[in-house]
Amino acid sequence: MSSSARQFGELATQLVTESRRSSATDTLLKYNDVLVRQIVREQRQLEALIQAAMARLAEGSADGELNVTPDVLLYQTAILRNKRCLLAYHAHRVERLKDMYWAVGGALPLLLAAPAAGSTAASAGDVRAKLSPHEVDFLRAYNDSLRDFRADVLAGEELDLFAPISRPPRDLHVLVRVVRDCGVIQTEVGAIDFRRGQRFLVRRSDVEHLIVQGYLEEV
Amino acid sequence: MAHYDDDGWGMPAAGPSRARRDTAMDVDDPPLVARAADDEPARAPRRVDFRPPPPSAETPFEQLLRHWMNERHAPDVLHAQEGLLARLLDHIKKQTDDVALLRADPDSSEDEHFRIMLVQTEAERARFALRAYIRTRLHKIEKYARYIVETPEMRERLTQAELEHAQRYAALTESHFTRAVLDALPEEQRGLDDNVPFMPPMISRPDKTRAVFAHALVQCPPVHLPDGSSMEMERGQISLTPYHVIEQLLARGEVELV
Amino acid sequence: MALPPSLRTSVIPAELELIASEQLVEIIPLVAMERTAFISGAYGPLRPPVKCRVPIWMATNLKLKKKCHIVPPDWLNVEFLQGRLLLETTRPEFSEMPFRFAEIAKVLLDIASEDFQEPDKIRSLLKDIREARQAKSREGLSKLDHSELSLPNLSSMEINEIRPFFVRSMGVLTQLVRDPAGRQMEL
Repeated sequence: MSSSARQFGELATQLVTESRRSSATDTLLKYNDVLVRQIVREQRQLEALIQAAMARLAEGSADGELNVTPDVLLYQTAILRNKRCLLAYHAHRVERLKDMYWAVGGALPLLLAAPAAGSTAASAGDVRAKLSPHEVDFLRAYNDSLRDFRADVLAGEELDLFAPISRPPRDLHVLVRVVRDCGVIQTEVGAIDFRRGQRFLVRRSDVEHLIVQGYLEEV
Repeated sequence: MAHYDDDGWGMPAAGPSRARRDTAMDVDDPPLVARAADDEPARAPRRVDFRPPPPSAETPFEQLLRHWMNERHAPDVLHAQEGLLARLLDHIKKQTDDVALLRADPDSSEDEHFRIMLVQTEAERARFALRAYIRTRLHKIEKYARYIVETPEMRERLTQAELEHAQRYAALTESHFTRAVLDALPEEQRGLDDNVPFMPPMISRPDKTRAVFAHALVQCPPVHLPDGSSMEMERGQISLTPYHVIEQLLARGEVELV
Repeated sequence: MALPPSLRTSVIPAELELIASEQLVEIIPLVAMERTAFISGAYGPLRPPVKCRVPIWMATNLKLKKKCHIVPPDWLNVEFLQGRLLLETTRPEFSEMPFRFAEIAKVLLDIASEDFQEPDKIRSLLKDIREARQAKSREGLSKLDHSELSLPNLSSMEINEIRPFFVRSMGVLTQLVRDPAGRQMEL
């Protein structure tokens, strides 16, 4: 068995170390399917070991009284620790994904889109390839839940829940530079065709979502 | 009422104050248009002290700002302010509609332009604060979703829409953990909520021992401190203390968090 | 998450400025406007050159478009601030300042410094006052326990600056006090 050269729990430590690295570098790492599977395998081994030890105990004891031996305690501790690490890893990723989702103003298709060739915008990074299928499902369901929430609360179009909240408005208008073509957009002063490289003075609330999604940049 | 101070601190009269102002919310003003100017005695110069005005002197928008900051600093989810939000949203909508009318009017003068600009600017401020407030709650509601769902006292503090989101979110994370992790484990290991000694509980709940800065808006009744003594906060007093100490004062609006 | 990481542990100065900008300031309008119902109340009429009290956000917007002069608040001038600086440097306690003085001073000086006499001197006095008060904040830390610390006259921006460290420190002290008891209960 390959695990004989290794302590129980070592792989799980690797996994949570990845979470820490992801936080420290502020990047989403690729879902580590291989490592997760290895830990799951270790859990099965541990379960088998524990079952065998319990069976031996049951054989050796006359009528009921099981004196739990240290090996059982050790296996149990390793199982619980591994499991907690697995859950922590997945929970940490979920939080990261939610951060990314909000950072693009809840534009899920944009987040999950395949990267455009030669694109430099962070939002079009190769996010999808880093996700597990379950994580894609999670994001979709999360997105659905928030759409329902928004429809319930915000009386329609009065409020854009997904607009940025880290820069309070000072002025009604904002000077923007077009980073990526985004086609014709309706604004207070009529329809504007935003073409790459152009600059416009527009009402902030008309284009806020385009700024968040990386189409426009505040000058 | 704004607070008047007879002996004063040698403070001159003018300057920003949180003096009471007319709130336009309950008034049948014509769209954006004037009321008689002489019905606003609060604009007369006066001596002002630096202590906070009692909550009764606040405009609805100032109330929102206070609740927003309370929510930001409190470790717990506070009571929803559904009525206040609805009033403000209605008001924003009314202002927006009025602006649209004024804009459509070909007789609108150049001066109207400034009025429109100011009304729109204020509406943007109000929208910003509203969504920042809602998202602050959403952040905590998701963080403690599973605890909220199983705790009646927490559920009561949420709006219906918030509670439904909390329920969906709790179910969503449970199903994610189940499908991504637990289903692959041996059957004996599939529980989500093991209570293991020396490990933090799986269901996280607000940490009410976290310290907050409380700012007394009125003279407060006594509260118990962790060291066994008691404290009566005076209006204007600022104290750093664990959240649970001032929890009730905050719920009654006697302090704000700053 | 719904709250960006930068907003999770504290409040940012721009948010405090938004809140402070709801307070009133006097202006001398250069444009006429009828009395108008706003969300935060009815303001106006503006009749140049009659002074009028409006919220700071409105004053700064008009000022940016050169449609008003801002009348400096009476605590935001050299004479008053010199008095406060003297108090800060000779007395152990924080002197009384408006709760949001730092935000208001910044917003007004950024946008309307030409409406002030000696704006640079005002800025430098504010900086000196700030430093004198910061020293007192640090001293306050030595009085911190797990229970309560009263901070009379500390302003909104100052609280925001000391928040992360003070909150964490009190958290550590709370744990130190709580843990021995917890262990006893387990035994």
